[in-house]
Amino acid sequence: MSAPSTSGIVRRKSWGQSVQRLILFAVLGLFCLYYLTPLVVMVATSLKSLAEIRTSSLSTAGPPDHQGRDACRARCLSRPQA
Amino acid sequence: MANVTSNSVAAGRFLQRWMPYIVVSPLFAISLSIVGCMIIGLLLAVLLDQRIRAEGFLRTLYLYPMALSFIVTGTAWKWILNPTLGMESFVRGMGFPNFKFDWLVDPQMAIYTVVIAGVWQSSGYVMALFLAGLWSVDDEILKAAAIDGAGSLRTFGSIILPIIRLVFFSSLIILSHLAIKSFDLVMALTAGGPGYATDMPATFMYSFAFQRSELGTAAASAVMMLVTITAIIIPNLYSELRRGTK
Repeated sequence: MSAPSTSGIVRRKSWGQSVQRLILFAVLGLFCLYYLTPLVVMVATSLKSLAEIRTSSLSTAGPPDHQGRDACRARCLSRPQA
Repeated sequence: MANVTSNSVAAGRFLQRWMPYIVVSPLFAISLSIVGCMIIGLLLAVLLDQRIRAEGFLRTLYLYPMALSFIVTGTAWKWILNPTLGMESFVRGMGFPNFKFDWLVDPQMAIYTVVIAGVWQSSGYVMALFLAGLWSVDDEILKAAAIDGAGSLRTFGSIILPIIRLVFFSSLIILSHLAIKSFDLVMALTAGGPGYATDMPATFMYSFAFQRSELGTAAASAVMMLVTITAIIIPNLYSELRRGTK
């Protein structure tokens, strides 16, 4: 009973519709990249040490020895307890 | 009389000297960023209005730049666009040694970096305005159009755009006053440089008033900013009011 009554309403997606949807999400994703880039740069820079900011480039991957993170951790741990 | 003549000669020389910096280049940048914001905002609003998944998330993501200060935006974009620190060296490090992207230090292209950062900041806000406009379009009208056989392009051009006309008006006013008085973004990004390539009306006024102590010129340029905004708002307001009383 339900199959004939919905057959004209619920249609299977055509190939063209899927491609349209794909393009739609691709465009939205590209704009996401455009809007997120400065945020990523800001967060990445905030996690770097001053020396790292001066010498290294934009890339989020730090040097392999995690100099900045270790320096940050050392500074946080060495803070006198209140 | 001689005084008046010499004054007008001086004004002529002044304009000749400064015209490209105080009128042509800022006007170009301001119109480009307004048009860019409008196009990207409308495009994003239309795309988000297609009953997609994660619409709320995407809307927030596109809108968050408006929450940031222009100083932060300018600094972040300065890092990204800086040839030795930013994107150029990043892409070169990925294995494209001939990649070149030095718009920030190129006097011809520096103005576009201001436009990129300005559009990044303001287009999400315009998107929200347009999205609100699109949501306010009555569903019944769209259904009627569909029954009459109007395609999606025709529906958009002949029905939706006229209905959201007021959104164009309000976003034009908001964007134009944001762009004309933009000061902190330019100061953080390029500080008007290289040379005078990215001097905006507000930075011009600031440098003449507080760095060169030429208060008269600075006051005149401030009045020119006011006049520019008025010249944009008054005709729009007039036409809308006239249409409203008809």
